[in-house]
Amino acid sequence: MINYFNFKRFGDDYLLTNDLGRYMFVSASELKALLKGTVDPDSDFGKKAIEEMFWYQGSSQAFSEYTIPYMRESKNYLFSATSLHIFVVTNKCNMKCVYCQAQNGKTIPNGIMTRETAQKAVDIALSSPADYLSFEFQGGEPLLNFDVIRFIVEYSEKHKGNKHIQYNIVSNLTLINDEIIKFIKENNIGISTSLDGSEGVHNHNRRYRNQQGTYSDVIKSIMKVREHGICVGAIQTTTRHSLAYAKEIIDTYNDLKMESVFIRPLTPLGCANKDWKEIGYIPEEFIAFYKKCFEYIIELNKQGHSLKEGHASILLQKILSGSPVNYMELRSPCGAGIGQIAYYYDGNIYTCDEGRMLAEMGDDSFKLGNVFENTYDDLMNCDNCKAACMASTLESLPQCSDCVYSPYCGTCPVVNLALQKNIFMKEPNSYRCRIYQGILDIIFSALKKPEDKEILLKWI
Amino acid sequence: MIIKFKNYDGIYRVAVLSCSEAVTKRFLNNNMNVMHIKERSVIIYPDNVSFDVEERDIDRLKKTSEFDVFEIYCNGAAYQYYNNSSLDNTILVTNRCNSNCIMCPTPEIIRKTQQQYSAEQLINIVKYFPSDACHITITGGEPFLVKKDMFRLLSFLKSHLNNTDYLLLTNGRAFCSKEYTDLFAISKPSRIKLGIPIHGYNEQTHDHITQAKGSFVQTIAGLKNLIHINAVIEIRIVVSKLNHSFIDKIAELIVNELKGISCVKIMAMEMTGNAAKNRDLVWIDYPDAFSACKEAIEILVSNGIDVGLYNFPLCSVDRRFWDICEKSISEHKIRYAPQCSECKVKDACGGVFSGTIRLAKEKMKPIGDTL
Repeated sequence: MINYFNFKRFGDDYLLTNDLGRYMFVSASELKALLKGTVDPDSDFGKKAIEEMFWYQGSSQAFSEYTIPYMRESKNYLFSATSLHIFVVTNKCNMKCVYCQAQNGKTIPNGIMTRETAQKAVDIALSSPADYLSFEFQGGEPLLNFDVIRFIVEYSEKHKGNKHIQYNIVSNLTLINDEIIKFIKENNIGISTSLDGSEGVHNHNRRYRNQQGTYSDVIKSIMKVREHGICVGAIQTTTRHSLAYAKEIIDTYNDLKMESVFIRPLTPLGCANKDWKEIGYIPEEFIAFYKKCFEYIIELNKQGHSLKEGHASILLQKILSGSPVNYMELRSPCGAGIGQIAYYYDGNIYTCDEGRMLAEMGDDSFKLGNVFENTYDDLMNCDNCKAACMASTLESLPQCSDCVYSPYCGTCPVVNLALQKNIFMKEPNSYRCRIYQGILDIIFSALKKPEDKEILLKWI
Repeated sequence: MIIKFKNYDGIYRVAVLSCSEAVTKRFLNNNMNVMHIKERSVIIYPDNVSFDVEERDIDRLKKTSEFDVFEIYCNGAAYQYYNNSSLDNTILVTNRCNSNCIMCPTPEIIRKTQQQYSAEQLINIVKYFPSDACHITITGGEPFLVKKDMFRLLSFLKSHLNNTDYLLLTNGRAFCSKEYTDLFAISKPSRIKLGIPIHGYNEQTHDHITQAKGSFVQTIAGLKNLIHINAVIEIRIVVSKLNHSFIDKIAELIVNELKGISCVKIMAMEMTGNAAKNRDLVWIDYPDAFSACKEAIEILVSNGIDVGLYNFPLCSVDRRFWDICEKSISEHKIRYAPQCSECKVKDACGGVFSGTIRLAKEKMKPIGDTL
C-alpha cells in the first residue's frame, strides 16, 4: 500500500516527501510502480520505499501505528511549552541600519524597560511549563539597558527553581566593555551579533546614527570578546547591495573562523518595507545570491574549511535526521506564542519578535497581553495566540499542504498580515514562499550529489 | 521467565548477567553479584560457584541477554526480574491488596497469603537495573500496603534511575492521607505516572465492585490530593457486567469532579482469578462492553482527555475508534481465534488474553477490507 506523499519534478527524476519528513528521489518508472502498486518489496527500490515509509505491506491500521513515534519526533517541538522568551529591553539604538525591521525611521525611539516590568516578564516566563528555557535580550540595542539585563539574569537565577535557562544577547557589540564581558562570562551568556559581510557591504548596510560605518568596531569587539574565551555567533542580512558580494561575504566569515554563516533575506517589515524599492529584491535575485554563497561554502568545505550555512543546517537536521531543531520560523505551527513570546519594553507582550516589530509600525494584531495584567495561561488562551497557530499550520493550508517542501517549511502570519493584509497566506508563491522553495531546491540538488551530501551530513 | 539450577547451594541471591570483563569488574567493585553463562551452566561471582541448568530450561538460557537481572531463590529457581531486551519491566511490590475486586484477574488466595517485599529487598534488586531502563511498571497487589517503605523505594529510584518512565499502579486509597501525598511529592522520580482505577460513579457502585467499604471515598479524596500536587494521573476503567450500564456516569465524574486528569484507559477484562470465579456476575462480551463505553469516550475526548482502549480486539470496536485501541496485552498472553487468520487487520490488533480467548472467540470476526 502507498502512503500519502507530495512530489515535484526534479530534473529527470521526481522528489517525493511524506508527512514524516522522509524524502526519496525516484525515476518516472519507479513513481509509476509506486502509484500502480506494482512495487517489488524485495527490490532495492522496494526496500528503500518501505524503509522511508512511502510504501507498506500490512494493514493501514498497523502502518499508522508504526509511524506514530516517527511522527512524534518530526513534531517534537510541540511537546514542550513556550521555551524562547525575548526581552526587548529597549527600542533605542545607536545605529541606523538601512533595513531596520524594528523601526520605520519616522520617530526616534527612546523606550527603556524598567526593573518592575522586567520582573513581571520573568515571572511569566518562569511560569511556562517548559523545563529548558532560552532568554534572549533584544532591542534596539540591548546593551543600552545593560542594567536591566543584569537584573533579569540575577532575578531569574534566584527564582528559576528546577528550570534550566540559557541566556543570549543579540547585540551589535559596539558598546561592549570589560564590565559587560565579565558578566557575560560569569553567567555563560551567549552572544549573537550581526555581520553583513566584508567591510564595504557591512558599512553600506549597518551604520551609526551619524552615517559612519560600524565594521571595524564590530570586528574589534568580536576579537575582544573572543580573547576572553567567549564564543560569538553572527548572522547576515542581505540587501540589494549585498547581492554582488557573495564571495566576499563568505570569505569574511571564513577568515574570522566562524562556525557558520546565516545567509538571510530581508524581512519586509519596518524600514525594509518602506525602502523596499532601494534595498529590496525579487526572491529569484536572492536565491541566485544564496546559490552562489552555498556553492562557495561547499567549495571551501572541500578545501578543508568547516564553515556551515545556517538555513541549510536547520533544514538538513530535519531532512536527514527526522528530528527538527526548534527553529521558530520553520515549523508547523510556527513558534508564535506556543514556542516563543516577546516582552516589549513597555510591558506589552507579543507572539514573537516579528509580532512586536509589526506593533512598532502601529499594528498590534499580535499582542497577547501585558505583563501587569496577564498570566502565562491568559496568553496561551487568548484568541490572537490561537489565530497565529491556526494560520501557520501548513497541513491545513491549501497551497502548503500539497507542497513537496511542507514537512520542512513554515509560514509567518506576521509577514502575511504585513504584506497581504491577511494572517492566512492568500497568495501562492509569495515572497517568503519563493525564498524557502528556492533554498530547498538548492539543498535537495546538493543531496543528489554524493560528494556534496557527504559534506552536508557534517552540517547537522 | 524462570530458569532452574541443579544442586543449588541454597543461598538467596540477586545477580546480573554479564558477558564482558569490564561489566563484571564494575559490578564486582560495587559488591554486587555477577552471573556468567558457560555452555549449559552458570558461574556466580564473587562466590565463584557454578551450577548446571535443568535440561528443559536450556533454551530459556539462550533467550537471556547481558544486563538481565535474576533473583535466585534458595531452591535454585532463578527468576528473570529485569529483562534488558524488553522495553517494559516490572517491580512487583506485593501481591496483597486492601480491595478485593470482583473482576480482579488475580485469585483471592494470592492476595491474602503471599509475602510482601521490604524496601531493602526491593532496593537490593533494583540497584542492579541499568540506568537507561526505558519504562518500569511498579505494581501490586496494592503497592502502598508496604506503607512508608514505598517512599524509600521511590527515593532510591529518583536518585538512581531518574531518567526512566514509570507507571505506578495503585488503587489510590493511600493518598487520601495528606501525609502520604506530601511524601510522594518529595520522593517521586521525575517521570512517574499513576494508574488508578475508578469502578463506579458513587460510593455504592464503586464499593460494590471493590468489595471494600469506604474505598470510593478514599480513592476520590486521594485523586484530589494528587491533582493538587500536579501528579500525572491515568484513570483506569475496567468494563464489566457490573458497571457497563453507567460508564458514561463515571466519565462525567472524571470531567466534573477531577479536573487535571489527562488520560483515561478503558479496559476489557482478563478472565482469570476472581474474574473467572465470578464469571456469571462479571462477564460481558467484548462488543457489548465496547458499545457501553462509546458515550463515555465522547464525553472524555470532548473535554480534552486522552482516551485509550486496552485489551479490546479490533473486531469488537467501531472502526472510527480503532486509532485509540492499543496493543496492551503482554506478548506471551496474546491469543487469536482460528478465524482471525483471515482478518486483514490482524497485524494491528492486540488480540485477547490467553485466559479469555475461550469466552471471547465466538464473537470475534475477521475484518475483510482495510479501508
